[in-house]
Amino acid sequence: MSGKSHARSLSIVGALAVAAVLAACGGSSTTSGSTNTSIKVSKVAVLFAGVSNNRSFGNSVYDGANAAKQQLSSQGVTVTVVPNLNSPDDYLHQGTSFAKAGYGFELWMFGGAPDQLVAVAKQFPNVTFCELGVMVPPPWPKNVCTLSGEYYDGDFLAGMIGGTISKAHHIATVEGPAFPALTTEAEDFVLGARWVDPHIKVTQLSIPSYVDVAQGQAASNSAIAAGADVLFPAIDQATQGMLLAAQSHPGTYVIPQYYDSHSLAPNVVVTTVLLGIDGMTKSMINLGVKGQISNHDYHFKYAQAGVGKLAPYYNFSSLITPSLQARLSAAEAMLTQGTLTVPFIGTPGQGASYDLSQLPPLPAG
Amino acid sequence: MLLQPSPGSTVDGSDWLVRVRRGTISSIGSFLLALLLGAVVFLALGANPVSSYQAILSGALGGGGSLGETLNIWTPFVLTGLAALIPFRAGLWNAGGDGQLYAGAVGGILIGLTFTTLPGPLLALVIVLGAAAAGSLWALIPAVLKISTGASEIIVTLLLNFTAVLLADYVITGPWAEGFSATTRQIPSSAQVGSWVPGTNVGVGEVTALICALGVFLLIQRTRFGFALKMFGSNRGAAQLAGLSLARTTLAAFGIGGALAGLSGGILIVSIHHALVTGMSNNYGFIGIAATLLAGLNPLWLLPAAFLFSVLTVGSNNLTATVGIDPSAGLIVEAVFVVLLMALGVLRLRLWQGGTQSL
Amino acid sequence: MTTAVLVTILGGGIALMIPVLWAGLGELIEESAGIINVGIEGVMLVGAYVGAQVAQLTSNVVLGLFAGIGIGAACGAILAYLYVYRAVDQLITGLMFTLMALGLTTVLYQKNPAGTALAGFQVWVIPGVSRIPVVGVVFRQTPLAYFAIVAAIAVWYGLRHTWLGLYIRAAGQGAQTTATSGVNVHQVRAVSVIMGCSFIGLGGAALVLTETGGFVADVTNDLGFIALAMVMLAGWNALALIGAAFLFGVSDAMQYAVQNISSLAHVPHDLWLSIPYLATIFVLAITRGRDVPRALGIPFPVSDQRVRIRLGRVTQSIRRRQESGIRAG
Repeated sequence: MSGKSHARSLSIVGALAVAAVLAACGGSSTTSGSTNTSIKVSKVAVLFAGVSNNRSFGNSVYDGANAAKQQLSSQGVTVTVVPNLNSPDDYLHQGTSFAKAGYGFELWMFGGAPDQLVAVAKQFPNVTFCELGVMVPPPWPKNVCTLSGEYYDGDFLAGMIGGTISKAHHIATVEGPAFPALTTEAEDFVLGARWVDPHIKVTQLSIPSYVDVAQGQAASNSAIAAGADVLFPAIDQATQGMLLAAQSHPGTYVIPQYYDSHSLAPNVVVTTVLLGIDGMTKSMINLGVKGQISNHDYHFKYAQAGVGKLAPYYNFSSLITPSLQARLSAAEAMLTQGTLTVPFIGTPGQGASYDLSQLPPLPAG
Repeated sequence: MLLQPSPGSTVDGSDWLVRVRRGTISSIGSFLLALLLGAVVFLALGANPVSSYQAILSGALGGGGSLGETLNIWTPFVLTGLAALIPFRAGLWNAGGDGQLYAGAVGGILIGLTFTTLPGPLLALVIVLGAAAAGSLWALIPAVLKISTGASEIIVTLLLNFTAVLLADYVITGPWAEGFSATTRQIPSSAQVGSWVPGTNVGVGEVTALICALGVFLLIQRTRFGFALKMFGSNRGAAQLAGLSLARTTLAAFGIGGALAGLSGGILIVSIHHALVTGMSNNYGFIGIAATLLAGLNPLWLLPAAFLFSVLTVGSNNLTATVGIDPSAGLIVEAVFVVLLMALGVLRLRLWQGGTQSL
Repeated sequence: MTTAVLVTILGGGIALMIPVLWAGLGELIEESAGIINVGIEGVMLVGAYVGAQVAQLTSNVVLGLFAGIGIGAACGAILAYLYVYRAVDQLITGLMFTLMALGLTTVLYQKNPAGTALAGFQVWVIPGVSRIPVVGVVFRQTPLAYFAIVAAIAVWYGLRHTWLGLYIRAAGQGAQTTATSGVNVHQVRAVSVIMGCSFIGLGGAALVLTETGGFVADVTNDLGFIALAMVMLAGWNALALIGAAFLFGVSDAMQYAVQNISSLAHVPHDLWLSIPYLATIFVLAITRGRDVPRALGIPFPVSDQRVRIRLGRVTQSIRRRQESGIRAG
């Protein structure tokens, strides 16, 4: 009975892992809308890891699927959302099940089931299958696609904010079990903070679970005790523990990820790094119902479908001073133009030692 | 073929008595009652019970490789069932099927990732044998403790289950990790045993389970060891008076049982997952125990009993797509079935202490 | 830095031990009466689910706690009927109950997932003492922690110094003898199961209402089995159970806190988590099972009790006649 939480969380991150690698490899195409409105597929299944309402990865998928559902229901499209599929076997079973039940397009927001993706696709050649963040070895079956996104640009921007607002000049990250894609989230946060304040102190802790709230809380308490006043989580539901820890130590800020978490802890959540999962989900569903999916990777760059954007600042707008805002806008422009490329850092600790001269000079602020 | 209580055995003068009675009519009645209770749960969740059970059947036996999935799960049910059955016959408890499976899997994967230079088929064989050995060792720990210190083998096997899962977790996340998912690196592809039915994973595992069940049946009915098991199971005092060694019987029972459970771990590695993955056993050991009880501790009846549980387990995967209910519903029906069997007295496991008692 | 780490381990350890302590107390009561309840994991799950749902519906965590107690008692009634009056095999039935509860709570949860983190309990700070460096964190816990310690002391005292406690422990040492003495063993055991499961249900509710911030499928994740092991590690002594549960909490807290202690940072975290299990096996082996209630796990059929009670009465009347005969003759 144990180990399930590991499986799910590792898979969520596995998704993001391969996303990053694919980004590095290129060979993909960006999404594009189409004016053709004829519906080719009327039954869509969205299978994902995690739950629909915990303000995290799964919540993001759920929101995107729901948005698509509302948009398409008038055209007779059924979108069925299936949460809590946390192991590759689940996708094998449910993928087969839904294909047998007549669904024409399946979107697997997981990242840990590439073999299952191909196996099921081969069994049901008339159904299209897409999975988030996996690598499919060639030759790709015709009815298979993958999707990926550049979310860690947002982590870098968040780091810039963290580095600026920290009064103690000490930031901390808490990560789940390390994977390149997860690691780069925290490392790029650290890098962004160092870009703004090269002498900032960094504490990096890791916990062995993505969902254990108690552990997230205890690790965050540890970081706060060490002197950090800005915390960044690379964990899933366990972020709630970080929020609890920050709330009991006034003056501590948290910048979470995945889903706008401000309402969970309005006094400590400055902003959230949105990975654009909901946007990606919605876009893919729209493509899927129109039968416009072809067998390659759909890569979402920064700001496409909301990938890597930051959530609003709500009551912390005053913290984001005009000079900081100017700096952020300049950085965003540099990202979009390509003058600033946030490196993918897959090894823990290298964000703290990354050579800052490799980055363009800090814009004025 | 049903286990009969040995004639003339009484409570007085014996230390332990294991008796399992099985009535076919009552078993079927319990099963129907369990299905009825399951139907109530389906109704309460807004699903049509008839469609739900149809979905289960088609999910387990319908096309699209479902029967293959069912058989793939049948294999560990049979093997862990046998692992519990052998000690049960002697009045000993082995609740550690899961742990022995994981221990076997750990042993198997370590062999598979270390001796990669061996030719494929040989490596596969060594993996499977190593897994059996690892499972056997894991089961010998509680056996030795029981013999030397009297520590309850029930508790120790249960606790070692969780320890084995933690050990497997260490191997999966540690130096042998694959990196992206909850799995270790794969064993060399030459050692990956293919299936004998295209489109499925059916093959070596199922045949092994069948052979093991037959082997255990012969072991119990035709060997001196099997005789010792039965003697200890029905009249421990008499067995010891007859010169049979409880210590040796215990060690052998757990050793063989653990080997079978470990074997299922090895099979999962070479023929299905090709690596050690998290959550490889989803309570297989406990369901194996349930199947063994349903089979009346008879290895041959274990085959259909395990198949029944396989159908329920695999078939309920189909519930989400058809009636929108989580696959764990199958677990409910299985568990309620066994509880009913116990509560209605169809299954009666009596371990009581007889002997002289002061009044 | 070291102080902060110690505080984290201590404080985190106490927070993590609370559900285990509550559930362990319940299991201890049952096992003292001779009933081993492997369904502890299932009862915890049910208590967690119902507790979370009620707390969500009423926006009141205290009501959630009481709901956990209530549903625990209800499970206890079912289990009492099965274990005591049907005299089923406790291990199998308990195991199946756990699987059933796992299936049922998962299915129900999927149909209606509870919301996000609940407000949880406020910390009660005991003035003065809580300012002591390092150790002070012991006095900055949620009320459930304090009540758990009080409950442990109460259970320890109750089992030793009250009539019910005496009957419970007698039933645990030998059902036949106790029944012959005139005690209705079945009633005693049934009461202990219902009481015990109430504690266990409370433990489950405490888990979701203080620590995890809400129910998810299989939220207990073997915590019930750990509590089972802790009861044995503590030698069926409620005071020692506090220590055993604390050992578990500290082991759990160690696995990430040690990242700040360079000498220990490389110990695999699974090793910390396996400490409670290994310690229990070790203690069971060392003590050679001398503390195990002798009747633990052995069913006592209703017919046997009838016979024994009748036998007891007959024996008593024979003795009385013998004594009056001796006096007379």
